[in-house]
Amino acid sequence: MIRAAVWIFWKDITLEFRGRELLLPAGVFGLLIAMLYGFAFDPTRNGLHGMFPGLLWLGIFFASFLAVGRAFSVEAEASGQLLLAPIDRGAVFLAKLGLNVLLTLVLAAVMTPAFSILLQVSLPQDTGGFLLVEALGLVGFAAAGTAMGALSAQTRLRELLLPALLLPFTSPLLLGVVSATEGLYGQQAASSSNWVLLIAIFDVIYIIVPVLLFEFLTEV
Amino acid sequence: MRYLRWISLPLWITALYLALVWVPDERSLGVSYRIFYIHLGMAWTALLALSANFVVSLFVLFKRNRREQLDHYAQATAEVGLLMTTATLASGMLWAKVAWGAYWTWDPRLTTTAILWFLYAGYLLLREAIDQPQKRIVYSAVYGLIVFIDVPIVYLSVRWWSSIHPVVFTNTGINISPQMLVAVIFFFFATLFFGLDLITLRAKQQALRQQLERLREQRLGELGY
Repeated sequence: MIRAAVWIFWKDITLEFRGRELLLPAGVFGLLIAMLYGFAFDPTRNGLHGMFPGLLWLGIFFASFLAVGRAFSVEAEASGQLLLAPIDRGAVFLAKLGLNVLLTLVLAAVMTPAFSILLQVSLPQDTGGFLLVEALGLVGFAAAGTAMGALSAQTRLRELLLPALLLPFTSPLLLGVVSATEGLYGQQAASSSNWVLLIAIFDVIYIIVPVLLFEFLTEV
Repeated sequence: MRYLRWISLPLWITALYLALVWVPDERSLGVSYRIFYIHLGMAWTALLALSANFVVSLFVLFKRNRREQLDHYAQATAEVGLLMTTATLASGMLWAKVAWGAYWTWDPRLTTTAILWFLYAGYLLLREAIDQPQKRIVYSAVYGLIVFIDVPIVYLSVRWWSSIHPVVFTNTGINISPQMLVAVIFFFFATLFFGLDLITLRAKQQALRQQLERLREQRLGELGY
Protein backbone atom coordinates (compact mmCIF):
# COMPACT_ATOMS: atom_id res chain seq x y z
CA MET A 1 0.00 0.00 0.00
CA ILE A 2 2.78 2.42 0.95
CA ARG A 3 4.75 1.50 -2.16
CA ALA A 4 1.78 2.15 -4.42
CA ALA A 5 1.10 5.42 -2.61
CA VAL A 6 4.68 6.57 -3.15
CA TRP A 7 4.45 5.79 -6.87
CA ILE A 8 1.22 7.74 -7.32
CA PHE A 9 2.67 10.58 -5.27
CA TRP A 10 5.74 10.56 -7.51
CA LYS A 11 3.56 10.55 -10.63
CA ASP A 12 1.72 13.67 -9.40
CA ILE A 13 4.94 15.43 -8.45
CA THR A 14 6.36 14.73 -11.92
CA LEU A 15 3.14 16.01 -13.51
CA GLU A 16 3.25 19.14 -11.39
CA PHE A 17 6.92 19.66 -12.14
CA ARG A 18 6.30 19.43 -15.89
CA GLY A 19 3.02 21.27 -16.07
CA ARG A 20 3.27 23.69 -13.11
CA GLU A 21 -0.51 23.74 -12.99
CA LEU A 22 -1.04 24.02 -9.25
CA LEU A 23 1.72 25.79 -7.41
CA LEU A 24 2.29 28.68 -9.76
CA PRO A 25 -1.28 29.99 -9.93
CA ALA A 26 -1.90 29.27 -6.25
CA GLY A 27 1.42 30.86 -5.26
CA VAL A 28 0.79 33.98 -7.32
CA PHE A 29 -2.71 34.20 -5.86
CA GLY A 30 -1.23 33.83 -2.36
CA LEU A 31 1.20 36.69 -2.89
CA LEU A 32 -1.58 38.79 -4.40
CA ILE A 33 -3.65 38.27 -1.27
CA ALA A 34 -0.79 39.71 0.78
CA MET A 35 -0.61 42.72 -1.55
CA LEU A 36 -4.38 43.25 -1.46
CA TYR A 37 -4.45 42.98 2.34
CA GLY A 38 -1.77 45.65 2.32
CA PHE A 39 -3.99 47.93 0.24
CA ALA A 40 -7.16 47.15 2.15
CA PHE A 41 -5.72 47.39 5.66
CA ASP A 42 -3.09 50.11 5.82
CA PRO A 43 0.01 48.33 7.29
CA THR A 44 1.25 51.52 8.93
CA ARG A 45 -1.80 51.50 11.16
CA ASN A 46 -1.33 50.05 14.62
CA GLY A 47 -4.25 47.66 14.84
CA LEU A 48 -2.97 45.39 12.10
CA HIS A 49 -0.63 43.57 14.44
CA GLY A 50 -3.50 42.00 16.34
CA MET A 51 -5.19 40.89 13.13
CA PHE A 52 -2.10 39.35 11.60
CA PRO A 53 -2.67 35.69 12.62
CA GLY A 54 -6.19 35.76 11.22
CA LEU A 55 -5.13 37.48 8.00
CA LEU A 56 -2.22 35.10 7.46
CA TRP A 57 -4.25 31.94 7.99
CA LEU A 58 -7.21 33.04 5.94
CA GLY A 59 -4.80 33.92 3.15
CA ILE A 60 -3.11 30.53 3.32
CA PHE A 61 -6.44 28.70 3.43
CA PHE A 62 -7.83 30.60 0.44
CA ALA A 63 -4.71 30.10 -1.67
CA SER A 64 -4.62 26.40 -0.73
CA PHE A 65 -8.13 25.96 -2.14
CA LEU A 66 -6.74 26.41 -5.62
CA ALA A 67 -4.20 23.66 -5.04
CA VAL A 68 -5.99 20.98 -3.00
CA GLY A 69 -9.12 20.94 -5.15
CA ARG A 70 -7.17 19.85 -8.20
CA ALA A 71 -5.69 16.65 -6.76
CA PHE A 72 -8.72 14.52 -7.61
CA SER A 73 -10.11 16.58 -10.47
CA VAL A 74 -7.00 15.59 -12.42
CA GLU A 75 -8.00 11.94 -12.09
CA ALA A 76 -11.65 12.66 -12.80
CA GLU A 77 -10.63 14.38 -16.04
CA ALA A 78 -8.56 11.31 -16.90
CA SER A 79 -11.81 9.30 -16.55
CA GLY A 80 -10.59 7.61 -13.40
CA GLN A 81 -8.02 5.42 -15.16
CA LEU A 82 -5.98 5.32 -11.98
CA LEU A 83 -8.68 3.21 -10.35
CA LEU A 84 -8.09 0.44 -12.88
CA ALA A 85 -4.74 -0.24 -11.24
CA PRO A 86 -4.82 -3.30 -8.95
CA ILE A 87 -3.84 -1.42 -5.80
CA ASP A 88 -5.39 -0.65 -2.44
CA ARG A 89 -7.76 2.31 -2.76
CA GLY A 90 -6.40 3.76 0.45
CA ALA A 91 -3.06 4.14 -1.34
CA VAL A 92 -4.64 6.56 -3.82
CA PHE A 93 -6.00 8.64 -0.97
CA LEU A 94 -2.70 8.64 0.90
CA ALA A 95 -0.82 9.66 -2.25
CA LYS A 96 -3.19 12.55 -2.89
CA LEU A 97 -2.94 13.55 0.76
CA GLY A 98 0.85 13.57 0.49
CA LEU A 99 0.65 15.74 -2.60
CA ASN A 100 -1.71 18.19 -0.91
CA VAL A 101 0.41 18.37 2.24
CA LEU A 102 3.47 19.16 0.14
CA LEU A 103 1.62 21.78 -1.91
CA THR A 104 0.19 23.59 1.10
CA LEU A 105 3.56 23.49 2.89
CA VAL A 106 5.28 25.07 -0.11
CA LEU A 107 2.53 27.68 -0.39
CA ALA A 108 2.80 28.52 3.30
CA ALA A 109 6.59 28.67 3.07
CA VAL A 110 6.25 31.32 0.36
CA MET A 111 3.28 33.18 1.82
CA THR A 112 4.29 33.41 5.48
CA PRO A 113 7.44 35.50 4.92
CA ALA A 114 5.65 37.51 2.22
CA PHE A 115 2.81 38.36 4.62
CA SER A 116 5.30 39.26 7.33
CA ILE A 117 7.24 41.57 5.00
CA LEU A 118 4.31 43.22 3.22
CA LEU A 119 2.15 43.72 6.31
CA GLN A 120 5.20 44.70 8.38
CA VAL A 121 4.50 42.34 11.25
CA SER A 122 7.35 40.18 12.50
CA LEU A 123 6.76 36.45 12.95
CA PRO A 124 6.48 34.97 16.47
CA GLN A 125 9.70 34.69 18.48
CA ASP A 126 9.09 31.02 19.18
CA THR A 127 10.08 29.72 15.72
CA GLY A 128 9.82 26.04 16.66
CA GLY A 129 6.33 26.49 18.05
CA PHE A 130 5.25 28.51 15.02
CA LEU A 131 6.56 25.87 12.61
CA LEU A 132 4.74 23.17 14.59
CA VAL A 133 1.47 25.09 14.41
CA GLU A 134 1.95 25.70 10.68
CA ALA A 135 2.84 22.07 9.94
CA LEU A 136 -0.02 20.57 11.98
CA GLY A 137 -2.51 23.11 10.68
CA LEU A 138 -1.56 22.53 7.06
CA VAL A 139 -1.65 18.73 7.43
CA GLY A 140 -5.18 19.08 8.81
CA PHE A 141 -6.24 21.41 6.04
CA ALA A 142 -4.69 19.14 3.41
CA ALA A 143 -6.40 16.07 4.92
CA ALA A 144 -9.80 17.78 5.01
CA GLY A 145 -9.19 19.22 1.54
CA THR A 146 -8.26 15.82 0.14
CA ALA A 147 -11.40 14.22 1.58
CA MET A 148 -13.72 16.97 0.34
CA GLY A 149 -11.79 17.18 -2.95
CA ALA A 150 -12.41 13.48 -3.53
CA LEU A 151 -16.14 14.11 -3.10
CA SER A 152 -16.40 17.32 -5.09
CA ALA A 153 -14.26 16.08 -8.01
CA GLN A 154 -17.08 13.76 -9.06
CA THR A 155 -19.75 16.45 -9.12
CA ARG A 156 -20.87 18.59 -12.01
CA LEU A 157 -19.39 21.63 -10.33
CA ARG A 158 -15.96 20.11 -9.56
CA GLU A 159 -13.82 22.57 -7.57
CA LEU A 160 -16.55 25.20 -7.51
CA LEU A 161 -18.31 23.19 -4.83
CA LEU A 162 -15.19 22.79 -2.71
CA PRO A 163 -15.27 26.08 -0.75
CA ALA A 164 -18.88 25.50 0.31
CA LEU A 165 -17.97 22.04 1.60
CA LEU A 166 -14.53 22.70 2.99
CA LEU A 167 -14.83 26.06 4.75
CA PRO A 168 -17.47 25.17 7.34
CA PHE A 169 -15.84 21.80 7.79
CA THR A 170 -12.43 23.29 8.61
CA SER A 171 -13.80 26.06 10.83
CA PRO A 172 -12.50 24.37 14.04
CA LEU A 173 -9.11 24.09 12.35
CA LEU A 174 -9.13 27.77 11.44
CA LEU A 175 -10.08 28.71 15.00
CA GLY A 176 -7.31 26.40 16.22
CA VAL A 177 -4.46 27.72 14.09
CA VAL A 178 -5.42 31.38 14.49
CA SER A 179 -5.78 31.05 18.25
CA ALA A 180 -2.55 29.05 18.55
CA THR A 181 -0.69 31.69 16.53
CA GLU A 182 -2.21 34.45 18.67
CA GLY A 183 -1.02 32.50 21.69
CA LEU A 184 2.51 32.48 20.28
CA TYR A 185 2.35 36.26 20.06
CA GLY A 186 1.36 36.30 23.71
CA GLN A 187 -2.00 37.86 22.88
CA GLN A 188 -4.04 35.50 24.95
CA ALA A 189 -4.20 34.29 28.48
CA ALA A 190 -4.67 30.72 27.31
CA SER A 191 -1.61 28.91 26.03
CA SER A 192 -1.27 27.56 22.51
CA SER A 193 -0.78 23.99 23.70
CA ASN A 194 -4.52 23.26 24.06
CA TRP A 195 -5.10 24.50 20.55
CA VAL A 196 -2.18 22.50 19.17
CA LEU A 197 -3.75 19.43 20.77
CA LEU A 198 -7.09 20.21 19.14
CA ILE A 199 -5.42 20.62 15.74
CA ALA A 200 -3.58 17.32 16.22
CA ILE A 201 -6.84 15.53 17.05
CA PHE A 202 -8.43 17.01 13.95
CA ASP A 203 -5.43 15.81 11.88
CA VAL A 204 -5.56 12.25 13.17
CA ILE A 205 -9.33 11.89 12.72
CA TYR A 206 -9.35 13.32 9.22
CA ILE A 207 -6.46 11.23 8.01
CA ILE A 208 -7.90 7.96 9.35
CA VAL A 209 -11.64 8.37 8.63
CA PRO A 210 -11.32 9.25 4.91
CA VAL A 211 -8.76 6.47 4.33
CA LEU A 212 -11.31 4.01 5.73
CA LEU A 213 -14.20 5.44 3.74
CA PHE A 214 -12.34 6.02 0.47
CA GLU A 215 -12.93 2.42 -0.61
CA PHE A 216 -16.68 3.13 -0.82
CA LEU A 217 -16.15 6.09 -3.10
CA THR A 218 -14.22 4.05 -5.65
CA GLU A 219 -16.90 1.34 -5.80
CA VAL A 220 -19.40 3.46 -7.65
CA MET B 1 -47.35 6.71 8.07
CA ARG B 2 -50.34 8.94 8.41
CA TYR B 3 -50.93 8.26 12.09
CA LEU B 4 -47.91 10.48 12.89
CA ARG B 5 -49.95 13.43 11.72
CA TRP B 6 -52.82 12.52 14.00
CA ILE B 7 -50.38 12.35 16.90
CA SER B 8 -48.56 15.58 16.13
CA LEU B 9 -51.63 17.71 15.42
CA PRO B 10 -53.26 17.46 18.88
CA LEU B 11 -49.80 17.71 20.44
CA TRP B 12 -49.22 20.99 18.57
CA ILE B 13 -52.56 22.42 19.65
CA THR B 14 -51.98 21.43 23.28
CA ALA B 15 -48.37 22.62 23.24
CA LEU B 16 -49.32 25.99 21.75
CA TYR B 17 -52.03 26.43 24.37
CA LEU B 18 -49.64 25.48 27.16
CA ALA B 19 -46.83 27.75 25.94
CA LEU B 20 -48.91 30.77 24.98
CA VAL B 21 -51.65 30.75 27.60
CA TRP B 22 -51.17 28.30 30.42
CA VAL B 23 -47.58 29.04 31.41
CA PRO B 24 -47.02 32.33 33.29
CA ASP B 25 -44.62 35.06 32.08
CA GLU B 26 -40.99 34.74 32.97
CA ARG B 27 -39.76 37.07 35.71
CA SER B 28 -37.08 38.99 33.80
CA LEU B 29 -37.88 38.30 30.15
CA GLY B 30 -41.65 38.68 30.35
CA VAL B 31 -43.74 37.42 27.49
CA SER B 32 -40.87 37.27 24.98
CA TYR B 33 -39.40 34.12 26.46
CA ARG B 34 -42.34 32.10 25.14
CA ILE B 35 -40.49 31.67 21.85
CA PHE B 36 -38.09 29.55 23.87
CA TYR B 37 -40.53 26.61 23.78
CA ILE B 38 -40.64 26.36 20.02
CA HIS B 39 -36.92 27.18 19.85
CA LEU B 40 -35.96 24.31 22.13
CA GLY B 41 -38.31 21.85 20.46
CA MET B 42 -36.93 22.69 17.02
CA ALA B 43 -33.32 22.54 18.21
CA TRP B 44 -33.71 19.10 19.76
CA THR B 45 -35.59 17.76 16.76
CA ALA B 46 -32.89 19.17 14.46
CA LEU B 47 -30.16 17.40 16.43
CA LEU B 48 -32.13 14.14 16.43
CA ALA B 49 -32.78 14.35 12.68
CA LEU B 50 -29.11 14.98 11.92
CA SER B 51 -28.04 12.16 14.26
CA ALA B 52 -30.50 9.94 12.40
CA ASN B 53 -28.83 11.05 9.18
CA PHE B 54 -25.51 9.80 10.55
CA VAL B 55 -26.97 6.41 11.46
CA VAL B 56 -28.76 6.06 8.12
CA SER B 57 -25.56 7.03 6.28
CA LEU B 58 -23.71 4.22 8.08
CA PHE B 59 -26.40 1.76 7.01
CA VAL B 60 -26.29 3.06 3.44
CA LEU B 61 -22.61 2.18 3.22
CA PHE B 62 -22.80 -1.25 4.82
CA LYS B 63 -26.24 -2.52 3.75
CA ARG B 64 -25.47 -2.65 0.05
CA ASN B 65 -28.66 -4.37 -1.05
CA ARG B 66 -30.96 -1.79 0.54
CA ARG B 67 -29.07 1.34 -0.42
CA GLU B 68 -31.78 3.02 -2.45
CA GLN B 69 -34.53 2.78 0.15
CA LEU B 70 -32.14 3.88 2.89
CA ASP B 71 -30.95 6.81 0.81
CA HIS B 72 -34.47 8.23 0.71
CA TYR B 73 -34.29 8.44 4.48
CA ALA B 74 -30.77 9.90 4.37
CA GLN B 75 -32.02 12.71 2.17
CA ALA B 76 -35.20 13.22 4.19
CA THR B 77 -33.40 13.38 7.56
CA ALA B 78 -30.85 15.88 6.23
CA GLU B 79 -33.55 18.09 4.72
CA VAL B 80 -35.74 18.04 7.81
CA GLY B 81 -32.65 18.53 10.00
CA LEU B 82 -31.65 21.56 7.96
CA LEU B 83 -35.19 22.93 8.05
CA MET B 84 -35.32 22.57 11.83
CA THR B 85 -31.84 24.09 12.18
CA THR B 86 -33.02 27.07 10.13
CA ALA B 87 -36.06 27.43 12.38
CA THR B 88 -33.82 27.13 15.45
CA LEU B 89 -31.52 29.87 14.19
CA ALA B 90 -34.39 32.14 13.19
CA SER B 91 -36.28 31.79 16.46
CA GLY B 92 -33.02 32.03 18.41
CA MET B 93 -32.04 35.26 16.68
CA LEU B 94 -35.42 36.84 17.32
CA TRP B 95 -35.24 35.87 20.95
CA ALA B 96 -31.63 37.03 21.25
CA LYS B 97 -32.63 40.48 19.98
CA VAL B 98 -35.12 40.81 22.84
CA ALA B 99 -33.16 39.05 25.57
CA TRP B 100 -29.56 40.07 24.78
CA GLY B 101 -30.11 43.18 22.67
CA ALA B 102 -28.57 41.84 19.45
CA TYR B 103 -29.62 39.41 16.76
CA TRP B 104 -26.28 37.70 16.81
CA THR B 105 -23.79 36.93 19.56
CA TRP B 106 -20.84 34.60 19.26
CA ASP B 107 -22.26 32.30 21.87
CA PRO B 108 -20.85 28.75 21.42
CA ARG B 109 -24.21 27.12 20.85
CA LEU B 110 -25.29 29.78 18.39
CA THR B 111 -22.02 29.59 16.46
CA THR B 112 -22.04 25.80 16.40
CA THR B 113 -25.63 25.80 15.14
CA ALA B 114 -24.67 28.20 12.35
CA ILE B 115 -21.74 25.99 11.30
CA LEU B 116 -24.04 22.97 11.50
CA TRP B 117 -26.37 24.75 9.12
CA PHE B 118 -23.55 25.31 6.62
CA LEU B 119 -22.34 21.71 6.91
CA TYR B 120 -25.75 20.30 6.02
CA ALA B 121 -26.42 22.93 3.39
CA GLY B 122 -23.23 21.50 1.86
CA TYR B 123 -24.77 18.03 2.08
CA LEU B 124 -27.72 19.10 -0.03
CA LEU B 125 -25.46 21.00 -2.44
CA LEU B 126 -23.35 17.88 -2.91
CA ARG B 127 -26.41 15.73 -3.59
CA GLU B 128 -27.70 18.28 -6.04
CA ALA B 129 -24.41 18.34 -7.98
CA ILE B 130 -24.05 14.59 -8.59
CA ASP B 131 -26.05 13.21 -11.50
CA GLN B 132 -25.40 9.47 -11.26
CA PRO B 133 -27.83 8.01 -8.68
CA GLN B 134 -25.49 5.34 -7.28
CA LYS B 135 -22.68 7.83 -6.92
CA ARG B 136 -24.98 10.34 -5.27
CA ILE B 137 -26.10 7.79 -2.71
CA VAL B 138 -22.60 6.70 -1.65
CA TYR B 139 -20.93 10.10 -1.85
CA SER B 140 -23.54 11.83 0.24
CA ALA B 141 -23.38 9.01 2.80
CA VAL B 142 -19.60 9.41 3.09
CA TYR B 143 -20.01 13.17 3.41
CA GLY B 144 -22.71 12.67 6.04
CA LEU B 145 -20.40 10.51 8.13
CA ILE B 146 -17.36 12.78 7.83
CA VAL B 147 -19.35 15.90 8.64
CA PHE B 148 -21.17 14.49 11.65
CA ILE B 149 -17.86 13.58 13.29
CA ASP B 150 -16.85 17.22 12.82
CA VAL B 151 -19.72 18.56 14.93
CA PRO B 152 -18.26 17.82 18.42
CA ILE B 153 -14.88 19.22 17.29
CA VAL B 154 -16.62 22.38 16.10
CA TYR B 155 -18.45 22.72 19.42
CA LEU B 156 -15.28 22.18 21.45
CA SER B 157 -13.26 24.68 19.44
CA VAL B 158 -15.97 27.32 19.48
CA ARG B 159 -16.40 26.94 23.23
CA TRP B 160 -12.69 27.38 23.90
CA TRP B 161 -12.56 30.28 21.52
CA SER B 162 -15.48 32.18 23.01
CA SER B 163 -14.28 31.50 26.55
CA ILE B 164 -11.17 33.48 25.68
CA HIS B 165 -12.88 36.34 23.91
CA PRO B 166 -14.83 38.78 26.06
CA VAL B 167 -18.48 37.95 26.46
CA VAL B 168 -20.57 41.01 25.70
CA PHE B 169 -23.94 39.59 26.52
CA THR B 170 -24.39 37.27 29.39
CA ASN B 171 -26.77 34.39 29.16
CA THR B 172 -29.88 35.10 31.17
CA GLY B 173 -30.62 31.74 32.62
CA ILE B 174 -34.14 30.51 32.93
CA ASN B 175 -35.02 28.53 35.99
CA ILE B 176 -37.51 26.05 34.75
CA SER B 177 -40.56 25.60 36.92
CA PRO B 178 -42.55 22.34 36.76
CA GLN B 179 -45.23 24.11 34.75
CA MET B 180 -42.69 25.24 32.18
CA LEU B 181 -41.22 21.79 32.02
CA VAL B 182 -44.59 20.35 31.02
CA ALA B 183 -44.85 22.87 28.17
CA VAL B 184 -41.26 22.11 27.10
CA ILE B 185 -41.98 18.39 26.95
CA PHE B 186 -45.22 18.89 25.01
CA PHE B 187 -43.52 21.16 22.52
CA PHE B 188 -40.63 18.77 22.10
CA PHE B 189 -42.92 15.84 21.27
CA ALA B 190 -45.05 18.02 19.02
CA THR B 191 -42.03 19.04 16.93
CA LEU B 192 -40.55 15.55 17.11
CA PHE B 193 -43.65 13.92 15.64
CA PHE B 194 -43.97 16.75 13.14
CA GLY B 195 -40.36 16.07 12.07
CA LEU B 196 -40.94 12.32 11.87
CA ASP B 197 -44.04 12.93 9.78
CA LEU B 198 -42.09 15.17 7.39
CA ILE B 199 -39.24 12.66 7.15
CA THR B 200 -41.45 9.69 6.32
CA LEU B 201 -43.51 11.77 3.91
CA ARG B 202 -40.44 13.00 2.08
CA ALA B 203 -38.84 9.54 1.93
CA LYS B 204 -42.05 8.08 0.56
CA GLN B 205 -42.28 10.85 -2.01
CA GLN B 206 -38.75 10.12 -3.19
CA ALA B 207 -39.53 6.40 -3.45
CA LEU B 208 -42.60 7.17 -5.55
CA ARG B 209 -40.65 9.51 -7.76
CA GLN B 210 -38.05 6.84 -8.37
CA GLN B 211 -40.74 4.30 -9.16
CA LEU B 212 -42.31 6.73 -11.61
CA GLU B 213 -38.98 7.27 -13.36
CA ARG B 214 -38.47 3.51 -13.66
CA LEU B 215 -41.93 3.05 -15.16
CA ARG B 216 -41.36 5.87 -17.60
CA GLU B 217 -38.06 4.42 -18.73
CA GLN B 218 -39.59 0.99 -19.04
CA ARG B 219 -42.48 2.33 -21.13
CA LEU B 220 -40.14 4.35 -23.33
CA GLY B 221 -38.10 1.19 -23.82
CA GLU B 222 -41.20 -0.71 -24.87
CA LEU B 223 -42.08 2.00 -27.33
CA GLY B 224 -38.60 1.68 -28.77
CA TYR B 225 -37.11 5.06 -27.80
